[in-house]
Amino acid sequence: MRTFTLLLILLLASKMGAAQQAPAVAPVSNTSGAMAPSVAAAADSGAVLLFNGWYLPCYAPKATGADSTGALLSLFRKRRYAGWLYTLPLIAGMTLALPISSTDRYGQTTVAAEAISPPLGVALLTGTLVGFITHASRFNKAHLVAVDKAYVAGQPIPAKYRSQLNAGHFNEAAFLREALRQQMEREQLQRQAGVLVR
Amino acid sequence: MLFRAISTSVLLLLPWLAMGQAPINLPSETFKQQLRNQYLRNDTAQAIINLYSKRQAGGASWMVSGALAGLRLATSGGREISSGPGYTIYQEAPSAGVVLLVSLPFLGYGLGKLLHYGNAPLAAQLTAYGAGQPLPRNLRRKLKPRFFNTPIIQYTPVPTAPAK
Repeated sequence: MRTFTLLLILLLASKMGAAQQAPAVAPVSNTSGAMAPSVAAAADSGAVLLFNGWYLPCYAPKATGADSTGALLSLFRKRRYAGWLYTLPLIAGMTLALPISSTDRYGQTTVAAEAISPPLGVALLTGTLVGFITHASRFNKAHLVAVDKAYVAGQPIPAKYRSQLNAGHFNEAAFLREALRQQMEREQLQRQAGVLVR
Repeated sequence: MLFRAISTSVLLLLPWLAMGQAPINLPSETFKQQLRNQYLRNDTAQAIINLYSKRQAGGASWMVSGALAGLRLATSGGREISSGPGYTIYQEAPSAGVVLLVSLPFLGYGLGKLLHYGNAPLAAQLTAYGAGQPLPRNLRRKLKPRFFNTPIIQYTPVPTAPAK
């Protein structure tokens, strides 16, 4: 029963983390004043959503900068999936906090009289819960959109994301950009073929 | 019991959840990407690449699930099934031979798929096709319409808000 409650709490927390809608473009529109809507529209042109809704703005390879927005998408996606690893301390914490049942070789199930270490287990569970919530809210889709739009508007990427970017993220970004280019080119070819047939 | 069921199911789900994300093995994927680029205007070549990717993934998943099942078998212990006055029936833990006998066919099937639909055979097949040779009959038979309809990458364009 307690297990269930804990899982329920975790589920609700993850839902809240995902649904947390940050006021994405507010700081940008404040700084650039009347130009803001057209800038936002220009930034959105060519932007796509990848996987299940991760925002990826357009990127011209001839630009001098590296593909930071693509690498950010890769970072967010990887960290978000890695959030499943929080199940491991969750299981460890529950093993410590709740009495363990065991089945012996005669098929008899016995529940231990007391748990291994409830205080340690509860501490671990609390840490896991807090860690998971901060993780899920740090790497959420609204934050990715906000960081990307601020970056396009000329602001630097916040240090907490920038310091985590590595070569693997840029490689994946290059892969995704190339896959997108191929897919779009093939769609255009198919459209032209459709026009010719008609 | 409930706890054990939940933790087992979560642990069993982990590989599946990890597979939900797109490019897992980047070098292998970039190899296919270069092939795709080479035959970008050819629908059949794209379908062949899709077919090979699908079969490769299938081979990997056969091997992973075979290894997991083998691991589970190898770590299981014996138990007493029933006992009465003067007799007990034990079910012994599976021996190494049994574990191998059960898991090797699955591993072998997966490995066979991985080898047969590897990147090198794919490149050879496409080179032959590009040189104008007809596709072998067994490959032509396997090219179903769904391989022609698979997108390279699934994406949703962001609707641009009209400037006011």
